[in-house]
Amino acid sequence: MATTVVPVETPQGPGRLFLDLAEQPSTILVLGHGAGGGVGAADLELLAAALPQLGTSVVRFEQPWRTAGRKVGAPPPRLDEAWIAALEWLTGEEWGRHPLVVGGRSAGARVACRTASETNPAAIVCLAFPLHRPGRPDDSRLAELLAPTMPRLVLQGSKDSFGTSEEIRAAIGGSPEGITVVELPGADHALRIARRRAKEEGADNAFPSASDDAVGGDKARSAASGASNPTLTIVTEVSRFIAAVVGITTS
Amino acid sequence: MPLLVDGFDVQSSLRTSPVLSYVMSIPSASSGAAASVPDSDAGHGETAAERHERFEQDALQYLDQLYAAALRMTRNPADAEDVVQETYAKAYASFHQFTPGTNLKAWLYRILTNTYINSYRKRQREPQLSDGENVEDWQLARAESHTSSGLKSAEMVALENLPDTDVKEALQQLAPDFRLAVYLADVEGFSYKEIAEIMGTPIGTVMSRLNRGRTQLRNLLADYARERGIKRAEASRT
Amino acid sequence: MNVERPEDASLDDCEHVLERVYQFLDNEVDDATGDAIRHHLSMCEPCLERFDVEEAVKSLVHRCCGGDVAPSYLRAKIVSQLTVIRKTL
Repeated sequence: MATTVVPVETPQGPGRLFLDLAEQPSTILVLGHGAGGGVGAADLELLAAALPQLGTSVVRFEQPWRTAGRKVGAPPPRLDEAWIAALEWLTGEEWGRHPLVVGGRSAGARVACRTASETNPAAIVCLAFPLHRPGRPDDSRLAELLAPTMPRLVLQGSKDSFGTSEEIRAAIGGSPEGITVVELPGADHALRIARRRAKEEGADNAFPSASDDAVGGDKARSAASGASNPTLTIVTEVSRFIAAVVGITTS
Repeated sequence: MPLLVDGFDVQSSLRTSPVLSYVMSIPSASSGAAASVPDSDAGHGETAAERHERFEQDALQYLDQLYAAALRMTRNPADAEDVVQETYAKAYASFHQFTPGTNLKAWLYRILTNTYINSYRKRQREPQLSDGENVEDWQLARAESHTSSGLKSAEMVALENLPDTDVKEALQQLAPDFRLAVYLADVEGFSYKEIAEIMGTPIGTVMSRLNRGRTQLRNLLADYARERGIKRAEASRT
Repeated sequence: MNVERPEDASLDDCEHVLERVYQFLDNEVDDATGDAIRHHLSMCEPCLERFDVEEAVKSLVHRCCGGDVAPSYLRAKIVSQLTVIRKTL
């Protein structure tokens, strides 16, 4: 079923919700995009295509700056305000009954974490959390990741210039409560693995686009040799995480 | 023209049925509003299902018109479809904010205009009209002397015989704000006040855009008509 | 050409009449002004011709630039969309 696009008003101007609903949803996952792109990012598209088939409805929120066609993202307080407003739109008949999981990629993950105390999700999914700016390891946003109290999943590339999976693990250190870090070997900030690097890491191909029917069509060459497949990993880990959370919250 | 809805004479029920009144509302130059109707509480006690029904019945009837307008704005059918879909999505999502008894068509057109501007035009970065327009602008394009209307009788005939495609093409050459204003006035017959609401500008700006858009259009059509006149003259000589 | 000047002072000037051509054709003038304009046009052929041209352009746009019909599948798409939205928002 095609994605339904709905313009919605926010105090920051009009944004858009991209709806991919499951037939029989058991959860809703709301995702925000990063500063360098929009809801069409490969991992966001992937989750929007795959998760509804697994019972999770996916809503991607396009920030007003992006809807307006600007090239540069808004500053954090404005992102937060628009995000919270977007979530307030989600009051349909189905939603009240199912746990809400929020998340996003990069800057979107930060927004989800910063606003968690207001939006009260059951859990948070972070794709490529930008721990620091490239080359500026001291300028850390760790506090934002640590602040929420609900379970957090962090999918992070081992070559992410905004903070590798190793850096995040180290930063979290002795306080891993509620935070699960899953490494995508050889992946960069876009959670992509360069072809040459893929061979080096023994990992599978570069991140195929969602249109390649990555989930269903990913035939051979999976985890057999211990090589990682980012596509499968992303979908599997997120759905596993959500299932666990739903299990917790409905029990 | 009597309007029957389910065999029900709407006209007689106008005063008692505010919900139907906006179907009947005709753009009026003087008041710009629908015929006086009591404030509606059609929304009270209406279930979500009923509101859905009301939307499907009342809003979807404008699909063709909104599509036509979107086609003029986006210039291609695929984008026009997207704009119309988003328009209806937005309209439906905010239908609870629409006051029954007011001008539904204008409301939909406002959403269409905003959707186009917000989602498409900004992204495609069409050359934006300057915001320097003000009320006085339209007075600057004063009536020229009688000799410079640009068209004589013979070409007037040619003008009226222009094929639809020429006229469409000429309209497409107008800048988006001019094009939309002319479309709303001449194809849809909205009043200046309604156009101002739809485009989110003061009435003076609407008049300015109409004035400049129509002047440009007239000149373009005059060119086309002259060309065809010349071609016809040449053809008749050979 | 000899143009008899109508009585109405505010519109005795062709320039003033022509300024209002669009408002007149758009039915945005009040009755008094409309009458005065019609009176002027009845006696001033050049202005009348100009009004005719503008009216012709307006009719052309009305005739040629609307009337498109949405593709049949679009309605169905929109209706199914409404259901999705109803569940969500």
